[in-house]
Amino acid sequence: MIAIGLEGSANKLGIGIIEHNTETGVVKILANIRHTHVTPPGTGFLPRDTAVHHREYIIPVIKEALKTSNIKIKDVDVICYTKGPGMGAPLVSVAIVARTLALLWNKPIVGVNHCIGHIEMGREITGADNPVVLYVSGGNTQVIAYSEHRYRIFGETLDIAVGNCLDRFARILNLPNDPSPGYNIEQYAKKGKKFIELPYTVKGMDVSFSGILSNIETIANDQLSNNQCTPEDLCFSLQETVFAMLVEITERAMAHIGSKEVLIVGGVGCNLRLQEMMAQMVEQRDGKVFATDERFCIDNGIMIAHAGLLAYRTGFVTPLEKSTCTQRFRTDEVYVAWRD
Amino acid sequence: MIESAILIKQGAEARIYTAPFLTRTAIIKERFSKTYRHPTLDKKLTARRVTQEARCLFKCRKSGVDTPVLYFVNTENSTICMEFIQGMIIKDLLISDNEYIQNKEKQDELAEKIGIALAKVHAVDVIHGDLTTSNLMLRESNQSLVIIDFGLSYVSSLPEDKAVDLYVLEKAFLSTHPNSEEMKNYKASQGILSKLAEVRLRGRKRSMVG
Amino acid sequence: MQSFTLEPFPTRGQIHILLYKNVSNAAELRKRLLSHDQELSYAFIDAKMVLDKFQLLVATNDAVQHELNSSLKTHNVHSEIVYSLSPTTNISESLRRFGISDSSTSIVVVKVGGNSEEARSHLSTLIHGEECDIKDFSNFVDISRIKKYYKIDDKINDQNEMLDIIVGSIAIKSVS
Repeated sequence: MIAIGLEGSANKLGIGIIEHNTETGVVKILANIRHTHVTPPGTGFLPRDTAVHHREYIIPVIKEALKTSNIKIKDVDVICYTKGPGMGAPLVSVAIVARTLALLWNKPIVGVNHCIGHIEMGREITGADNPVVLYVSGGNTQVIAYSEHRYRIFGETLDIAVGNCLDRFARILNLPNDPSPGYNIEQYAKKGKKFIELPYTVKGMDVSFSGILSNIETIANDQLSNNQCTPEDLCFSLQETVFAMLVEITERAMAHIGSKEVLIVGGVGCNLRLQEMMAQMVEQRDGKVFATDERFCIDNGIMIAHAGLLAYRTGFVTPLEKSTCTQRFRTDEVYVAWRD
Repeated sequence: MIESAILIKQGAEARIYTAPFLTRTAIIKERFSKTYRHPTLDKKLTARRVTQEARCLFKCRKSGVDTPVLYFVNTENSTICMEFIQGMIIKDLLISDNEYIQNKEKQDELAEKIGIALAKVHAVDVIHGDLTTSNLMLRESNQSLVIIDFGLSYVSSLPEDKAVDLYVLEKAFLSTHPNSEEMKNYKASQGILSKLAEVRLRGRKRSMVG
Repeated sequence: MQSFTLEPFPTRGQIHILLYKNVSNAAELRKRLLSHDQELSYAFIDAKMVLDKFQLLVATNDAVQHELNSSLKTHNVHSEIVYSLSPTTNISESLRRFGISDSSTSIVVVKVGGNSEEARSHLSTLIHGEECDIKDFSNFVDISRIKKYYKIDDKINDQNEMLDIIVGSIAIKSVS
């Protein structure tokens, strides 16, 4: 069976085409094309401009994906799109295209939870069986574990997402948004030497980042101009602090449910320092870390196609009149019929 | 560590031992360092948590909550020595003690003890942070309800934090002991209870944007 | 006299505790202490402020830890025991409240390390009084003063409960 996935919940527009061999269980990625809306240094992406970007590029990107995959439209079994969570205008602009294709090609449609897309793609790529999932991106920070047909949230951010914290700090430092602000923070952090103490806010299995952001902003304003510290030191200290918090709550969830595997997904999951710290924690517990590279960590269409196809294979279809979008869509709202 | 100490539990951030301590038997909680953390951060964090735990433990004890008595705090090796409680863990009691499984009166009595104890904890603005039936005990000598493990505790006067504390316990009860009754006699401001109703509705977590 | 081991610091030697009643030379002892007389390397405590030996051991354990960390707040480990007994961090007030006064007649002595019999015979030359069993603390304790200095709720009358709070107050001082 073949699915095409359309993703545009944030500034990445992604189209993916996937094939599931329903007999052997083998999954084949036929195409995974992405186009990112990059804004000038010091600025973030706004919903309206992002939607304009997605509308402008979605047809060429779909055409490219179809060409790369070497399939015919008649081979496609289902069209999958991101129902949420995400930014309203970009979500809607992509959903309209999904609906139009469904009518045009006469195919069923499946609305997918973006977070479930990340989790299922991560499991597929890494082979992690039943891991504790750390989902970290610009919009989400959650520690998740599966139980009885739901991905349950054990811990999460009480305010802003970790990626949002990093992105906004990159803006304060005027770092480029190309390829992504987080990537540039990571490169700066490698050259940081001095560790500057920042607030560390973990409450049970939950975390909070807004206090850290305002604190480091103050430090940047006070200490950069007189060379008391460097932007590299600040990036280093920020990463060391927020990643330690993430690793800590992940470990707590592992201890709580007795799991030995961790899967990191979401855009921040590409960060090698986060992966390294997680590996150190897991090593102490005799376990294993699974992470993916930027092709799958960063928002993409293939994960939407994959998760949508998993649902479709259990008989799930989104009726056209219900193929809406929602900015708020919690991971634990989805009934996971395809797992035991 | 004390030479004759016996390791009884290895947790994610601490090891728990029993050991002889100045003519008594003590529980020793030793926090260990985490290699993934920057050493400066690790040191500060561990010291801060040892201090915070000891303070919350003592604050509760002093205001009449039955908690382990604090014996010794050593930030040099990140250990806290405290009283070894002779008694039963509530989780085990509710799973294996027939008297508690069958007798409604016994359950009510226990629910009342829990309510009174938590009200006292919250009255002095301590949030336990990890209320489960594994962290509640009944003292053998006088059947007093003992609250243990203040490892995630902190001080806050916000009704929201207190409500979440209660909600966590409620969830722990429902998942481990499905037939359990409501907690009784938690006498506190209406603010906390209405917050609890609110937290129950939204399931603790806020809804969020992707 | 009774001797004890501090399990956290076994290499520091035994802790010897002695109790004296009908002491007639407290003023002289206090004067010598104030002049840092090296011969008096003992902790002299007013028995009115001692409820139980465990209280003394917990304070001694704290004092020994401060000595080993080089974080003594007072001159030596023995004065540190007196200081550690107090729930406050005010040094002179702590020594005044828990140490002996000119009018003290019952005295508790704590000695860190050394041989117990040597300590006892040395003390017999220093203290003019009668040694008694340390089980007899309750004959000398001043409960109302204990309650006042350890800030114990007036409603609490059970001595075990009091001791729990006293011990906690001593222990928490190192992180307050």
